[in-house]
Amino acid sequence: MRAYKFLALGAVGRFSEFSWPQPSGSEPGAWVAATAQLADCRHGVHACSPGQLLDWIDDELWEIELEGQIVASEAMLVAERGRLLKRIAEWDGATAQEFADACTWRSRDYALSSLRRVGLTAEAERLLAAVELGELQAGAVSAHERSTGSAAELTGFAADAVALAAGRRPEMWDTARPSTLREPVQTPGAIAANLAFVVAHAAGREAVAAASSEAAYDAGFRAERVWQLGWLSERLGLVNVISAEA
Amino acid sequence: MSDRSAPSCQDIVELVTEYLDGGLDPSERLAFERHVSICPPCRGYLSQLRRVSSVAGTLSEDDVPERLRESLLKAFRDWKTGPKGR
Amino acid sequence: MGGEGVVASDANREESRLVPALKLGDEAAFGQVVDRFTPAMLRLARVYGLGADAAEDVVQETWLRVLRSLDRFEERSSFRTWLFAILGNCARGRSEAERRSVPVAGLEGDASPAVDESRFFPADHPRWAGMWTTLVDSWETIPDERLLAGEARERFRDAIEALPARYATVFVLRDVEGWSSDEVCVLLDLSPENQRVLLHRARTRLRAALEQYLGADPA
Repeated sequence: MRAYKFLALGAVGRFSEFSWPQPSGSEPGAWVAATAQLADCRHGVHACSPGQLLDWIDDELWEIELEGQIVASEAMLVAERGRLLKRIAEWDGATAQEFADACTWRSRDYALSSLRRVGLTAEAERLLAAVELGELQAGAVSAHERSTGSAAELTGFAADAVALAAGRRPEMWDTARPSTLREPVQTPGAIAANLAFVVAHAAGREAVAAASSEAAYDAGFRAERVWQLGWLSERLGLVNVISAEA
Repeated sequence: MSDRSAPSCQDIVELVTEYLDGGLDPSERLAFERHVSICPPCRGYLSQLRRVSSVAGTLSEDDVPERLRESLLKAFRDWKTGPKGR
Repeated sequence: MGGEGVVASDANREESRLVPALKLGDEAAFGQVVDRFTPAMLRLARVYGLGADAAEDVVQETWLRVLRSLDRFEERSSFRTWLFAILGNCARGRSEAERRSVPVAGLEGDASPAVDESRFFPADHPRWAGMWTTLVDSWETIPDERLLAGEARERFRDAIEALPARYATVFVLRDVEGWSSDEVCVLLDLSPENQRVLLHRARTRLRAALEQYLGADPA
């Protein structure tokens, strides 16, 4: 069975810190076996179907072959054995940043929706007119200062998304402020993982506000995840895994 | 207190040692890893904690102070040749 | 419970193999165990509040007691657990004689958070309650040479010595000396949970000290 796996730079497991044997030429990487019973998900080879990838976005994306008993949980696939087949070269720092930016623009949709619901049309128009992220942030901040409740929340998220995509933290909206400290560096993969989650969360929060019901969160969150998966699938040529016979 | 099913960053920094020691149950571990996966500062924090441990491990390569070592060897020889209290 | 019930790791087995040689008066074997354990013994003696000279005295006394009691040591037990139990007794005795503060295995006192709460958004924040307000570096781009050499190493050692004794004891055994959780719990008579809390507090303080040293404190 073929699946996907995100790894840290150098084909290293983010949590296991395990150095995966890499393919060379046309030869797949060596097989790696789980060291203990599969029931305890700490051991076993972890991998993802495309739909599970978004929770685990990282610096490198690999195609992996799985063997032996495979357990599919909600979050991931766990197999007895696996080997790396090839790296998805299209997923690099530039693509990750592009994806993060694409997610950031999506946060505008939810801000707009929330502004229109409370009749703040001028602020909505200003947001709509933004063609670059700096303008998006400025418009979102301005709208945020003029609104309350869900409109303040969703415009806040939009402004935060721009900051996060630029490697800053939420509410670091003053881009003119010079940095006097050594700024920690985040990888584009880390930023992409973060933005995708934050904007999906914003989508969930907007769904809650629109429906006046907490129960609406999941559908809103998942719908945004579907869009994100579509972006990645198309850009990276992801294919759905073909399940091995049970 | 800390919510292990949907931890905040503040929860994460309190759970790190338990996580590294294998003290979280499978669902807590998944929630922990999911959070760290999408949270750059927590990724950094986990990495820092791991580094503290690995730096600590290098401290055990110290030498025994020479004077002390000689004194101990002398004590050993005295014990060896001295009256055996058996 | 001298060493019994402790899982015998490879290191343990190797150490225990040296014991018969010690009993026969093999000086080379004694040299090996001295080299292997004395640095950690000195560090741990310091943790009991003793100065450098007193720590050396305690270590010396410990080795003498070990030699005198060798024939009573059962080779299937853990040598190092036994050794450090003797060290603990000697160090405590000396500490009491000098009226220094003696480390207690309890958890009373310090309940301060691992990271100052000013580094997180407050609980009533509409979007980011409990989340980091600041970036946090991974230190991955900082090479080992910078962290392990000269001044950094000394500062790290100083930071360990500045820890409350009960935190330092667990940290030195677990992270510096590589003992397992089981071994530490047996030696210090701690539950796994309590041991983990002490280790947690030690590591978080040392992380903060290292962060400050590296000059990356955004506060």
